[in-house]
Amino acid sequence: MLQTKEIETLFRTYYRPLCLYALHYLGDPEAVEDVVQESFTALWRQENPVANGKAWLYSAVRNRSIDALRRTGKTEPLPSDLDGPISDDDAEARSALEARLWTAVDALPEMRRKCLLLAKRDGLSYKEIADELNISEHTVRNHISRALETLREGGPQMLDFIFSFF
Amino acid sequence: MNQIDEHKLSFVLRHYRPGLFDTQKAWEKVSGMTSRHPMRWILLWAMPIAAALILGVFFSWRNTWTEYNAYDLAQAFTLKDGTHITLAPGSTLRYQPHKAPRQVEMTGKVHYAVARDEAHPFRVTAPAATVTVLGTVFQVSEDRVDVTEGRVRVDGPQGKGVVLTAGQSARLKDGVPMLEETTLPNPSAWATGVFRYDATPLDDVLKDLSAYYGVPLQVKGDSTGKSLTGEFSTDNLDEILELIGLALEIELVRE
Repeated sequence: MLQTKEIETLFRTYYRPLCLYALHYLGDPEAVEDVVQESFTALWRQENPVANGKAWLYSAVRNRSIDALRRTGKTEPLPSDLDGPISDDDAEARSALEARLWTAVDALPEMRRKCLLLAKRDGLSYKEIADELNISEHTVRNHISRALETLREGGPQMLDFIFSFF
Repeated sequence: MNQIDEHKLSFVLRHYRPGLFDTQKAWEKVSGMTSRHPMRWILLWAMPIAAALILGVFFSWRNTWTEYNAYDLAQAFTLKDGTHITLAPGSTLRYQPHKAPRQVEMTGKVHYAVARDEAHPFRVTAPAATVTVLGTVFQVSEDRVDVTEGRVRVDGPQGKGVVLTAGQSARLKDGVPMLEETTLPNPSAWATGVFRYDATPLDDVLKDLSAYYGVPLQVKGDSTGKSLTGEFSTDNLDEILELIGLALEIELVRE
């Protein structure tokens, strides 16, 4: 049985990557958090020794995700990207960097994050964002390019640093 | 960032919502930490606040001014570093005992017997001048500085300074300290309570006493070549005059 301290370390290291991994299966953030948290609780209650906590957690999250999809009637539960299905290995491999990008978005200055999300997530034009936020189009373009710069160049390294605190 | 990374970024941005996948909140939920260890969270909040409060109290304590005033009578005090001060009536002095125990600000007239500390000069800031010393006896008033023991440096507002040694005085003229050629023997008698004379010519003694009591004095008899050595309490002018008269075989009278 794992000690609380070991579980906490696994949690702080893999909670967000596991969420991103499950998101490729489920696509619904709330269902994702339930699945990942249940998996950790199960690890906690695990009587048998667990040699590789990370591997154990990924397979627990995968099984729970597939179960959840089957319950909704999907016969072939596969992880997917925005463009369509991807392999399970691919989803697992991508989840770590995606988690870092997620944290990097969290860390963006508020206006940059707002502009970026309105453009890339909600598909608004620069003009529409400028009207919505009451700023100039030029400023919108600036915020977005700065945000992307941070995410592409600074993001992953910066997050190594943040993770090292856990 | 390559093509696949753009896919990752798009995927993240498509699903991103602030506050979602919050590791800390999720851990609290899973571990039951909030209910099991409420103290830990209280401490997390309380400690920076407590630290800020302690720092604030510390700094305001350090910056506290101690103020001395003399109203109708001269008043004597001892500062934290052992320096004795005497304030003439109507004078004020203040300093920060915890921050700068040897830097005082004053108005009026103050007599100092500064505790010796070579490493930390004692500084007096008066309206007319700044006086820096190591350990001496002197007094500072609105327009002059008189030194009884040791050496002091007097700087005027324009930065021009003079060094005074025991028995010397400087008068401040237009912000510039000027060495006084003739000075009274006991400029600080009001503070020390003593007139001290050391082979002082009788004429100087009379000027000294006249200045102190505000009474013109005269000698009946021949005063030429006569001088006085000794200490007299400032308590009673008539008694002093009688003692001096007896010692020098003359008669001193108030005009």
